[in-house]
Amino acid sequence: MRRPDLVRDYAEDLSLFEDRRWMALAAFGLVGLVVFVAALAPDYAVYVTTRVALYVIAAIGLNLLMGYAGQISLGHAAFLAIGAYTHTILYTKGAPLLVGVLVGAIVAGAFGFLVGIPSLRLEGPYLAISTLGFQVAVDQLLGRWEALTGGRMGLPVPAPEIFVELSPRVYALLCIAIAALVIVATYNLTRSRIGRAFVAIRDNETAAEAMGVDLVIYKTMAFAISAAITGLAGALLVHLSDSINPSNFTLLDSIELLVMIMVGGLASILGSVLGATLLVTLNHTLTAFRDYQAVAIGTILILVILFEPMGLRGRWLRIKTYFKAWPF
Amino acid sequence: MDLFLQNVLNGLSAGSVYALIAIGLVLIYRSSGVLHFAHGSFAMLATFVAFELHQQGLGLVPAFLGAAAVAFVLGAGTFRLLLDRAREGGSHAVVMMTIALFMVVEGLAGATWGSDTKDFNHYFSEPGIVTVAEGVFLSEHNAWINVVTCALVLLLALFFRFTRVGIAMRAVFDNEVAAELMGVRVRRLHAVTWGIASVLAAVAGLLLVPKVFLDPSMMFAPLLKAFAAAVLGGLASIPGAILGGWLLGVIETLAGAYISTEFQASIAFLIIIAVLALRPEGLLGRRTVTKV
Repeated sequence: MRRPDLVRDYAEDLSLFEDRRWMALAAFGLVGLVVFVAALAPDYAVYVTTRVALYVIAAIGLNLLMGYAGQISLGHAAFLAIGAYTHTILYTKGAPLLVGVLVGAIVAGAFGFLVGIPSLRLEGPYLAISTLGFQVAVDQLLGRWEALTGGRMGLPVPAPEIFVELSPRVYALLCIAIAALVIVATYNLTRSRIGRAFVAIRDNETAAEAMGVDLVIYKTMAFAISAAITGLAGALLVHLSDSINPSNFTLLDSIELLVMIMVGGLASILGSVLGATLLVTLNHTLTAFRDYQAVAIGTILILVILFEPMGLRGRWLRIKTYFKAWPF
Repeated sequence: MDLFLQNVLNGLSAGSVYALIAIGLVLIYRSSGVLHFAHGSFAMLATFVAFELHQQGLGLVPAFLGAAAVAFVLGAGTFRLLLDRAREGGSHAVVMMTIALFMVVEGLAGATWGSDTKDFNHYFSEPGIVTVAEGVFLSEHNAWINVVTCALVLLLALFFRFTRVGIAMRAVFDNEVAAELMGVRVRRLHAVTWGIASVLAAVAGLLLVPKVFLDPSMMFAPLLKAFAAAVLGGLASIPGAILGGWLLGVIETLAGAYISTEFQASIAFLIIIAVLALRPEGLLGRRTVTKV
């Protein structure tokens, strides 16, 4: 059941899989990943895979806002932090793990809504500055509000537990499952009325408004959904170490998320997955060159912007078209 | 009262540095529409260059001139080679390009010079004291900061009023297409604007360094303050950037003196939020209406 080259409607154009073969391939890949994590991988690879899965979620969150809705945010690590801290505080007080994670995402989403309000009046550079301000403000607040956040010392994180204590492998599987859910959910969101409204706002705000897209609702919604998804990732991230502190969520982490989606490809779920996978893997393999890590990432980013503006996804599309049209 | 005046004076000195950085940000923003997140990194790099030249035995004046030359080439070259092309990719690509430059420059500086701080005291940091009025003093360092800033602002004003290049630059600020049609080489002027802006930032770095120690992240906080100053004055207004810088410096110092020093670091962001909420075009900016 190969998809015809002629695309007849919007849903078909954006369907998650082009045809059954790709669906089978994805299922195969997912099963392979699960087997790898559950049985084969060494402990360190399990840890890295978990991080990849969580950063995939976070990158998708940011891409929804920046790629689809066209609103820039230099403060997404702050949403990671809000999700992480909310979850940690609730979980320490005895809330079940998934409830804590969910509340973390919701609280981050609420903050996203608040940050989104200025976006109604601000554009481009001003929005960049105000989200940057938000990032630094959250960082300082987390460092100063010692009663709630433990200040610069941070908070201890109890081991993850759903009825029984989860081993790192089981936790990795949980994160992969949630990442897969997020991928499917955002994919569907982007093909829905809401996703199309985001794209319309990105392409031309005035035209979108004239076509009946309520800017107040959809712009703040873009911020809220994006922040909630990123907050979800933040909440799940805390269990990868036994404590969290504000230095886990600095401006550099925000930049790293931005680099992920720029390198992967804006306005693309596949791009977010590729970008997050590449960046996290690089972070954990280039440990010998710690000093040059920022230089390497910056250089990659410069090269991508100059030579491959659509990112890894653009390259992938071109490779695919090449083989599809071969020998022409 | 003397204490109050004293604080205002110290605030103006701090604000002068913010103003110098903010002027560069505004120049770059007005000419090419780029919000330059690596502006502070360029200043830091130029300061390191001056330090290294001085270590090699060069006098301070040649070292400073060398740093300024490096800053100019760095700024102009960055626009010509990277930003001009990134502009074709849209606003996200531009912002990300400057952020990438920030990472590369700070990363290289960190790898080359290490993250241990160095002292770079030069003659801007004479420990002497100037008496301004009875009971009001200014350290010689702060006096230098104010004098140099005022001189540069004056020079810049004359440059924009009387030189061919300055006038052409203003034409480009106002209407790039019209300027190009009148025979202005727009891209070259953008590059020169970037160069001048980077030199101003380098001066700010050199003025600041005796106060803060030389290290790769020394310009990060001042850059954030300069963003606040530029937003306060209006991101598209050069007088606004100067006014914004001085106001921010004074407000910050007064808040530190009368409210709490803890609070001092956050004040820039409170100002950003307040300005963007109440008057997004800034104090001296004009509200622009875009035709669709």
